[in-house]
Amino acid sequence: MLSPGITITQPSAVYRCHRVDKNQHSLAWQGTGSMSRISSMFVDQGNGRISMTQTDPPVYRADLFVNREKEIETVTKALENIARGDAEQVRTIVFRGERGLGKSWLALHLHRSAIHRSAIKEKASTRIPDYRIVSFLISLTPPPKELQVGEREWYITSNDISQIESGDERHYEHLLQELLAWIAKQLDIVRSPYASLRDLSAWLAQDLRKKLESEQDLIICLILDSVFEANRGFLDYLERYLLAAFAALPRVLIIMTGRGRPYLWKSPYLRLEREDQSLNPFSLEQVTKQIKKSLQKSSQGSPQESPQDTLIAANLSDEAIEQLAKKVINLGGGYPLTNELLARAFVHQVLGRSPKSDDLEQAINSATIDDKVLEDVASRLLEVIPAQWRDKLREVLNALCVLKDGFREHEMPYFLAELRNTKPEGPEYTIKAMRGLRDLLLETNLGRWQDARYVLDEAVRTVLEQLLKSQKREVWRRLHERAVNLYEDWAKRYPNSRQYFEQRAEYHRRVLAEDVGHSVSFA
Amino acid sequence: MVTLVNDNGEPEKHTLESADWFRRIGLRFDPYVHLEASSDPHLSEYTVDLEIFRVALENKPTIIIAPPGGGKTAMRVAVTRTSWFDIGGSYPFPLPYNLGIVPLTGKPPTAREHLHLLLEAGACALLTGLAFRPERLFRVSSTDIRTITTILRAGLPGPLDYYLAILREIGTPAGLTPLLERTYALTAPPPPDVLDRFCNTLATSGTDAMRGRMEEVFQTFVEVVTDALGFSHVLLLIDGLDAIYENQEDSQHAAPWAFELFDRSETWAKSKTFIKLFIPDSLESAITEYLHHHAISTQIARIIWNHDLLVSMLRKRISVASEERFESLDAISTPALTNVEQQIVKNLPPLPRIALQVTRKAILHYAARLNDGWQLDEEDIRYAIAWYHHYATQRSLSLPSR
Repeated sequence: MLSPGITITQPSAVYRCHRVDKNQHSLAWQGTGSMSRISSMFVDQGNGRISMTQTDPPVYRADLFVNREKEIETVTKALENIARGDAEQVRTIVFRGERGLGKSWLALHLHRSAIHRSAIKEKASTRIPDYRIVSFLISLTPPPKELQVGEREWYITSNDISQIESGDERHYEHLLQELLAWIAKQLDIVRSPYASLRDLSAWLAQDLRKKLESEQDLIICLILDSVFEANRGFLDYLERYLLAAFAALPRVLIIMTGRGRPYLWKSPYLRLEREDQSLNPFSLEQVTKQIKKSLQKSSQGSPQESPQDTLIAANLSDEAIEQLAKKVINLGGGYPLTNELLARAFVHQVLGRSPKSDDLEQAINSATIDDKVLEDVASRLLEVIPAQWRDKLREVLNALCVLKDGFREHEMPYFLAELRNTKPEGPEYTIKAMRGLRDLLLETNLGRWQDARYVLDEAVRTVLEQLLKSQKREVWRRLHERAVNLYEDWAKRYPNSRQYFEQRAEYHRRVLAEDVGHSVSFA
Repeated sequence: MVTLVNDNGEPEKHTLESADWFRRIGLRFDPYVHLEASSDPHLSEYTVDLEIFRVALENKPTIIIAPPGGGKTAMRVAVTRTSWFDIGGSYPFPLPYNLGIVPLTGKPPTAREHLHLLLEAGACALLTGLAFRPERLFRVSSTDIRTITTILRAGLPGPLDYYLAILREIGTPAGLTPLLERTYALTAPPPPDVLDRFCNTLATSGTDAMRGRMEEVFQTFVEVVTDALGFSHVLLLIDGLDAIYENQEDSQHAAPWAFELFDRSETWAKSKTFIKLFIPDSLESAITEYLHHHAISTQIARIIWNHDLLVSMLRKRISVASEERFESLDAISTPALTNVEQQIVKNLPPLPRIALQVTRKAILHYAARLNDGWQLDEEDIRYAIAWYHHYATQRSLSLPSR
């Protein structure tokens, strides 16, 4: 727990947007952003047709936040140790997680609420002198349109991302110049808006050191969201001109979140005094709580609420919500974004067909989710893929989604060919071609190297496999059968790796055996 | 040069430079090519023994022990380059002091001679470092700039104006590193106009060299570096003790060369200056006995290479070269090969240099037979290990018998 005696300069409740993004719609999450407007998003009132095309992922609200106590405790303990001046300190914390695992929510929650609340809660029982925590949120992904940008929050814009992706280093410099000047202004140091990036960086480092020396009660917490998703060249600049200097200072805590392949920092302080944590999907209890909060919120009668929303929350018992949570976990694996999208879609699927409140619970218990809903959730999860690559990568992801244990490049042709119902022959299936596809997967951070194999983002893989199984069961079975045959063959052919391949074959045999109502047959 | 075939198995008309070839397998560069640490621009990214790295950076006198070829120089270079990675942060100031190039007089340097040599090494490091990061200098007071200039004039092996002329002429601080301090091959040099301003600032800040007792001059150097220039502390990175004599037996005689330095260790520590002595294990007992006998407090750290650490080292290099796309040669290997790095190192003595050489040999063998396929195979590994054993046998045969 955070030490008592820590007081907070809390972000103001009055929000302001400090940067304007002309292209925000193109790369930011789209839509209205209000998770409470369920009916209008999911049900076309005219014909009851399910449509998620206008839906948005939920925009952060402190009252909807669930779980992550362990992660918050990690942060508060690190702050406590810094405040106490312990010799052994964690000065960088990295939270890693899959698509839709709530990293951005966690970053926002820490900045706007958790750090400050924990500090206040503990204030009574400490022997540690008073401390003041000033936190900054730096998001390397644009904000959802509806998010009100809060105090000491800096968001990259879609326009910035486009320019960064073009590899123009002058834009890195320009953007970082702006970021450093913004931080300096917030901290009331280095008043040189026209200084070069290099000057600004050197001066900020020196002035911040002096400020921390003169204000012994000050702790600075730098929270960076979506770090690993950012361009690597830009990260090199970010580290050199900002993070490395902050990391070397005594009362600074750096918190990062990111998805996909990690970034190897060069500064010793970003490597040595660091704690890495993987965020986990929600448990049944947590998903139940998440859905309940979401539905309750939608029944609290904001001006946008429809009567149907109120009806939903009012009529669902705890047991019904738990049943719903089980269905959601079964389909999506417990990832918060997927949970939210699936639960809302499912409730409204049921409402669209049977809008009477009396039999709502029974309908929820007995109904199965439509493929269309799952397809829309998948599309939403895959929005991070640039449009020009989306179709190509969707096919690759469909082919590989049965490989829960991951894959290596020489396995890819067999599954792609199986999906296309052809043989893995010709230039489309060469290792060179596979490496091209692999790189696309890695570029989007929907795949990464882990434990000697490439793995797909598990949140995405789970939904895609469920969808494939539901929509094209025979294709799904063929892919698993392909895996069994391939790994059995390789287990025989490569005796040094026999156990390795046998384990994989066994997994796919088990999956097929558990697929009730279908006989298992291998070539 | 590597001759390639196209996807249909026909030879391509052109050949590829090795850099192109490495790009084709998903690596930005050859991660195993540099056996000499100071020439590797990515060295500081490869560090795997983070505990030793921490010890090497912290503000305590330390002896770091490793076998020959065991990564002492690599650690020293990594400390130097990471300390200068950013532009103006509170990092240690690395002062590389190579005893291997001290003039041989048949006896260890005196305290005064050590201080003179340290000042020279410090001035070389300071000028080179500031040329890469002139922004540190621009914000200090004119008085401090004058002090820095007088120290540089007192410590540099040649006239300051000579080095400034080189900087102006070449337009990049990289021109100084081969002249003054090779480990200071830093990245992100300033634009030419900023470098020019740096040269002008120093050139117009006085023509006198600092005078006085060597202890006082060196103390002023330390104060300027830690107070005015904002470094957290000074690290005396002392290496080359085993290079003074030609063989291991005689190298025992080199131990006293470090005694005089440790006599000052506690005084230096009070002024934020810390000895980091890098020695081979053959010198450990002579030095630690002296420290024990004279009750000099020093921590001792050992770089111990085992197969697991070697595997980590090889993988870290792949990870850096592939921009973290993959962390093992498994990624580009046939199904027959798993745990490639483990398969390589288990057949070798636990020394990083050998592991690097053998791994590179395997990759080059793979490159040479690209027309047979696109993946690293068991044959490549077998070939590389056989090459090492052949080489090792030849080498042992060619050594003079004792």
